[in-house]
Amino acid sequence: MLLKIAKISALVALATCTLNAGGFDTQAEKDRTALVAYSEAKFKDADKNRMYFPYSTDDELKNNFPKNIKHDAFALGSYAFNSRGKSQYDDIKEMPPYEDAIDEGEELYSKKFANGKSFKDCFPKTDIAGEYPYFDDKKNSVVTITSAIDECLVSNGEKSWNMKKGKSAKLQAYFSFATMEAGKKVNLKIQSQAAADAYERGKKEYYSQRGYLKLSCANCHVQGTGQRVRAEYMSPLLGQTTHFPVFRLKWNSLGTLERRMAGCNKDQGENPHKAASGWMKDLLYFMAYMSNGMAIDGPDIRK
Amino acid sequence: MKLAKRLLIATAISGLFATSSVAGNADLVKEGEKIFNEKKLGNCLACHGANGKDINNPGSFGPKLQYLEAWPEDALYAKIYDPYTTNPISAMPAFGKNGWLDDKQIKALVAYLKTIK
Amino acid sequence: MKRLHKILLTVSLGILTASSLSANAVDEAAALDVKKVCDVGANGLDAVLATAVKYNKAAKEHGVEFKRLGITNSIYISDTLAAVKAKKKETVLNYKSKGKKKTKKFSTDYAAWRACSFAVRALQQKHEAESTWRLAVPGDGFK
Repeated sequence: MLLKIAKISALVALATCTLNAGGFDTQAEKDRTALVAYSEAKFKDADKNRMYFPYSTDDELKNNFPKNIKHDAFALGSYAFNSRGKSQYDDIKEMPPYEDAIDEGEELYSKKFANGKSFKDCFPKTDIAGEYPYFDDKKNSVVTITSAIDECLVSNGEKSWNMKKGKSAKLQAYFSFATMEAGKKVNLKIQSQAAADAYERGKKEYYSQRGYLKLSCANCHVQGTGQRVRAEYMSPLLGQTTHFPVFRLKWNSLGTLERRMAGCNKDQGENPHKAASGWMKDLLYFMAYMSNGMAIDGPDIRK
Repeated sequence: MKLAKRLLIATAISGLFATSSVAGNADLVKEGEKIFNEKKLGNCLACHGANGKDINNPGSFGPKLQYLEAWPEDALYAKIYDPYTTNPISAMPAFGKNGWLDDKQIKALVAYLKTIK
Repeated sequence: MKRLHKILLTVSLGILTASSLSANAVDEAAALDVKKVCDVGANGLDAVLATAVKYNKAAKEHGVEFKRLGITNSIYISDTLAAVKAKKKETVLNYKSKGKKKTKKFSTDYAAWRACSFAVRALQQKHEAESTWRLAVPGDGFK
């Protein structure tokens, strides 16, 4: 009898846990699926759906944008719809400039710290890019791959690395490449109220207009996707974070998500937030969640 | 006869000092065109083309400007000063209110915009 | 022990006061007419710059300080104050861009007007964003 009660109680507890785990991500899932629906509706037939592109030219809507772009294809960023730009992108991908960085990242992974340990001790597996950022309930903060690398260095008595470029970016290129090779996807969870709160903070930051230009990230990368600033097409939020670290032709080097977001922040007319700030981590948590379930395809090239 | 001549001269001089309208002032138009096209000034071409003007690679965030010669100057000024009065989440910056372009610069822009057919 | 308690209390009160002052600055700024308050002709350089100093401090605390073409509003303020002190009609802004030292010149009146506008508007926008941000979210407020 007691055993029966114990079994039933265990089952009830398990069911409650599962239900609760689903509960914290309800709004995030609603946001994510709405973003997918919006993105697909917008690019189903750009020429017919001109209300999304009120000021685009006939030529680009008829001849440049392909039809029926689906969820996963948005990971290509503006190349998902800028077919003229895509051919240049394809050419560069034949001999991508980040290949050396992946090899250097692999070396950094096994290189011993002064105390004899290495990144292997902090990151036993390498196909982990899809697991970041995650919310650490004990630390009560978001952990990005960049901050995890920093934590590993500091806890092993090593000096911090630049969080935007250089060695951290190279190590991330190695992780990203390994994840892509393993065919893994963005696999994020929101399993506590604190995590849900961090997601909501990031979401609010994303959609709040800021800087002397009073632009939100969404002005360009949600409502503005497919529109141009001069000749540059705005890339979509959907699939934005899957291809990092990114080799940007403008930088002629690899950069982390933190590097790119600081640049965007600057383009809004605001003094950029620091890579290690709570602001940045919450923002990246939200952004990455919007690409949940999409394949990791980094590192990659962008203009 | 002397009085008529005096009146004529007085009218001509007061005509010269009529500065309430910016339209037609060639220097101001030129300055406005510079503000429109330069990245470090107004950078309006980032989002807008302009009808009848040779704009180098204008963006598509905003409409191609046309028929602005028919707009009242103060309406053009107000739009550049603060576009959020009509759309609270507009992607167009408040050039005046946010301290980007000052009164003189906006007036120069208005002079240029008034030449757009 | 009593001394430690006193110190802790003072520090906590200090933090609470600072954060509530900072929050008050947002509400205060929201009520301002930025065109009037930053008008150098009407208010004079000293008053306009005092406004800039006050509100940019809060803007920095809230992480919303403006920066234009490599120059933060803090630099606008400090270099314009220096120009006013030296009674110069022209302000030279000293800043760094991509590791190199650079300068940019404006009339002192222009620099003060911009510094003030940047400071006040940064806080006003923070206030405005509270009621407008959801309008853009597919799945939340966006239609």
